[in-house]
Amino acid sequence: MVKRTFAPEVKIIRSIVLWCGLLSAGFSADDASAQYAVQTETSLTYAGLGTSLGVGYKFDHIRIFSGMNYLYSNNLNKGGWSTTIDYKPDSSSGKVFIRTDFFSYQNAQQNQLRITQGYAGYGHIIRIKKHWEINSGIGIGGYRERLVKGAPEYTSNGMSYCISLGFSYWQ
Amino acid sequence: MSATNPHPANSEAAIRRALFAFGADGVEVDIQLTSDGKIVLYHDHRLESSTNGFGAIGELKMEDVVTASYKGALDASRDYPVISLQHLFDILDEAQRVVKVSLNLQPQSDALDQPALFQKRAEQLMAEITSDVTSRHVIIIESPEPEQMIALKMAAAGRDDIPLYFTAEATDQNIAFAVDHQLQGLVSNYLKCTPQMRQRMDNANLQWSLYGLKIHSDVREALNFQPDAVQTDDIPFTLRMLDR
Repeated sequence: MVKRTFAPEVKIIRSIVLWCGLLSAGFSADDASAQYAVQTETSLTYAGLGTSLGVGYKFDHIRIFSGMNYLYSNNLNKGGWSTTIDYKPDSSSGKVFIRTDFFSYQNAQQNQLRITQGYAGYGHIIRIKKHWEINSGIGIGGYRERLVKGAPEYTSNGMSYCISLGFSYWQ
Repeated sequence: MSATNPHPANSEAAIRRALFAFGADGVEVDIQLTSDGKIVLYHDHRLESSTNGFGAIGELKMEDVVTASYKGALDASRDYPVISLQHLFDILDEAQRVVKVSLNLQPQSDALDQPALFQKRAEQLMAEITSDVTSRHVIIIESPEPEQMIALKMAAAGRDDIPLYFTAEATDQNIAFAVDHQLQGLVSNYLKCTPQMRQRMDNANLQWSLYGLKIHSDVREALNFQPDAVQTDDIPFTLRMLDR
């Protein structure tokens, strides 16, 4: 009899849901002076399930996050990058966002595959402590896969989605 | 389809992504026979099960089958037509390397297939897979039906360029069947495998391919049985587990 274990992505999603449930129990006043943040986010996109870690900056109603992205669903060995721009009015917990992801992968034939994705969508930002926020979002957009080096020529384009959930710490 | 495999199974997009984007050693596809003796890549025997077409593939000509497109794909903006076996061979040639292809010959209907149908399918399949193709790529034929395997063995008489694999668990009975009919291997669901089966396959000198690998834990557990090949949805992770 073969014993089945849960895949890492299943365990991660369960952990995230649990922590969000615990942390979202509190709420505090907004800290208007905080402008820089550290953010971690887990997201499901065309390229697969991944986690990003990056920095953020906000001015007026605009927030920009950018950081490295690691894919669980793919053997990423050349690095990935994710950048998101949010627009969030102070009076609202909702936001609209634009997101772009870049991944580079060296496949079994030693060819370099590049995946580019872009999404636009809607999400929420919930301030749970003085410095902490929970971010969520769902978007729709497109992807492009391309072999930048190697034969044969390969390009694939299409539509896709993104679903994300993460935390920010503002200073 | 899944987060790691967003295109419909047996579609050209899925095959190209596996071979070109991720550099897989090969692909496993399902095949059906049309009324005019051609081979198309499709799992079920009726088009409406997964496409916008209608009818039993065995009662349609190929030119009608390839007009059907898969429905319900994650990307609704693109077309995913059903393709022919010859079209698959053209894609393999674009890879500019030796590619392994497992052709999974699916049952033709819900009812028990007739012996004459087994023979007809075997002969027409052998006619499609010319030695010109097998000189460039490795073409393996699989089937879960014992009678179909016997018909394939008969149709392949004199041809040792097409390995035949029986899709079944590695039990003593199935191993004996493969040995008695001089087949080259078995294709098994990894969830039903045991370490003892690995030993039996070694003793019988048969190749062992495992399928059913969809998520990371599937890949890890299947590779514990040291198979000769795996059929996986997650190519990059599987390659990483194989240190490649």
